[in-house]
Amino acid sequence: MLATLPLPFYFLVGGFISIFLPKGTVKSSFVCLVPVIALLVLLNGGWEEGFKIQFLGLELNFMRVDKLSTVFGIIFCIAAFLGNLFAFHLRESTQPFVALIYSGAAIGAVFAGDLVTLFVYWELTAISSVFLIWARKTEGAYHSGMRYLIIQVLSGVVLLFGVALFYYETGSISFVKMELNSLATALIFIAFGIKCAFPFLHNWLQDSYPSATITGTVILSAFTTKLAVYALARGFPGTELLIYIGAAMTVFPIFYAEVENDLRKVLAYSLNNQLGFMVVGVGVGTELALNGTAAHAFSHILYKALLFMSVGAVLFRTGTSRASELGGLYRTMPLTATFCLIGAASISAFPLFSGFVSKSLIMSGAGKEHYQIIWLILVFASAGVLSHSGIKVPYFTFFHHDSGKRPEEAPMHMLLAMGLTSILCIYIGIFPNNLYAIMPFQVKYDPYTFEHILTQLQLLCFAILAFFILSKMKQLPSETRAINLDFDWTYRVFLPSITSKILLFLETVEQKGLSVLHKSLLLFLNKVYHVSGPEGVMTRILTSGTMVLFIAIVLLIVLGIILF
Amino acid sequence: MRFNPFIFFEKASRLRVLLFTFLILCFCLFVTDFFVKRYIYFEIESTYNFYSIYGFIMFSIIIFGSRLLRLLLGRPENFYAKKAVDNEDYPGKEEK
Repeated sequence: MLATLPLPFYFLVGGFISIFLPKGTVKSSFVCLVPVIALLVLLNGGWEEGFKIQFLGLELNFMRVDKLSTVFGIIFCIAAFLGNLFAFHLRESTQPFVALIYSGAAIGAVFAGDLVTLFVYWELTAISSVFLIWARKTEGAYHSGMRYLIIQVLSGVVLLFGVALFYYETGSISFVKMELNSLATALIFIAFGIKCAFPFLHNWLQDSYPSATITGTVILSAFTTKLAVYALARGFPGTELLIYIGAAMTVFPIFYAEVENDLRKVLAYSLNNQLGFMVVGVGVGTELALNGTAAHAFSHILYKALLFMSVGAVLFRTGTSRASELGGLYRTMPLTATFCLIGAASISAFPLFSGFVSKSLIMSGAGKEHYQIIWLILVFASAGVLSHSGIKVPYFTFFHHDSGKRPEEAPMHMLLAMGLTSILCIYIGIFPNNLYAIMPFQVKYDPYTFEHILTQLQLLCFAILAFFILSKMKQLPSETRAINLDFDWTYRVFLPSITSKILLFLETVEQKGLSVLHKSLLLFLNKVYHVSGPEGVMTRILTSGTMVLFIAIVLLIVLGIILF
Repeated sequence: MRFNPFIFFEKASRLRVLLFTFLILCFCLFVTDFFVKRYIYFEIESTYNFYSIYGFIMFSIIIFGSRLLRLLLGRPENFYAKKAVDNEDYPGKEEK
């Protein structure tokens, strides 16, 4: 019976139990154990019929287990375990609790068989995850968290409108493939797009992830955006618009990532860029490309978590993640540096690392469908990934100039989390067939052909050569304490300033209008007073004789009219 | 002290060997393209050493493009607020 309960149940119950456990090893061990148990239960199966309940005349399915949802379910369990292991040192109740609820909600959304269940978990991911930002307990983090919450909840509200309209139009709430041809599906698409950080809807990502706690960012990086990728892959595979959106997503973050100073922000932009590859895969929509999306999401969660962990470990030890304040840490943090390099090699798609075997599925998918420009953009973006995540993050953190900092190596549990993640990155890279075996479709693909290895090495090595040459010529962007304006400027500066100007204008208009109204009213009252006041024509006192005469005249006139 | 491979390469001479090895690798990759007939999706791929040239040029474009972006859109850390996350130090007390 217990084994057929919905998977989020383990996380939600585990989360509430964790509150009552003593802070420290017991609590930390418990929150690590929960995802492991959930993973074992998932692998054991038993939801062939789903987990359905009737609610307000609707059939809700909490466990639609098929190959696509299973891939995401597995990697979410693994990510939750690794994230919690990385956070083993925490001696508080909020973050471990929230981490379990958040990951459970994301897993619940992945297995949701209907749009209503999806909506509930969709919102729960938003509401729970914001506490990982607020746990930083600074004014800046509070405001970032509020912005994050507003945007995430907005995504849920848009989804709810879409679902309601969809039900009205079709009479169904099943979460299946949809066509982008009505307002309902457009709203659902936009809701997914907000969480997936589509261009112009993406800023919550770069705003919130660097604002979260060290461990919070690692947890955050795994779930929300990949849940959105899953939702797109489930709901809108083969939607051509996604190809162009995805291509744009791969390109623009590269330039930002290259000049951002906060390395966690660099990684957030890099995450945006990687999402672009997955979105392109969904847009292409062939079995090969969709496998690519699922495989890339799987390996991406691992190497991105690894990069966030290594920068997080540095932040933990040095108190900063600014490139301008780091450098030369390889002397005292060699293991963290090694793990960071493994993450960098994986994201850059070096052969024998996970990114190589997953990204190439998407590239081949786009190539086979003859999207030449898109394919060229993806190759360009591959060079871009190398530039910021492959080179910049490890180079400015652990090498480059000596910052003079000599921090201790990361704590044992962090090293363990990074080590296990590194092993997975390499394992997937060397034995890709084990990853391909759990993909949604049976597609034969061999990434290790001589020409593929050669071309990939050519691309990467010559990009690195360009880096060396430009570095020697001192042409690389310097690390300075600065930020770069992005689209969030519109709602953080432009719209508030426009709104305040409009309000000021309205206030002025109101004041002037009131004054004119006041004057007109006074004038009118004066006139009325003049006519009807004590001295007015209409209210002057007449003698009785005059009134009798007046009435007699009126009577004569009336008589005259009647008679003639 | 534990063996630290990065410190091993601190010496300029060893680093030079590493760099030289890398340059040889680049050279080999460049030359190998002569002898390999690749399966291609698009005509442009058949250009000799397409990937090498594309990688080199695109990387350079990214670097110069990002510098231009900073020139246009770069702002001080306290641009949004005095106490924005961009501008604050990480509060380490509760986690360290």
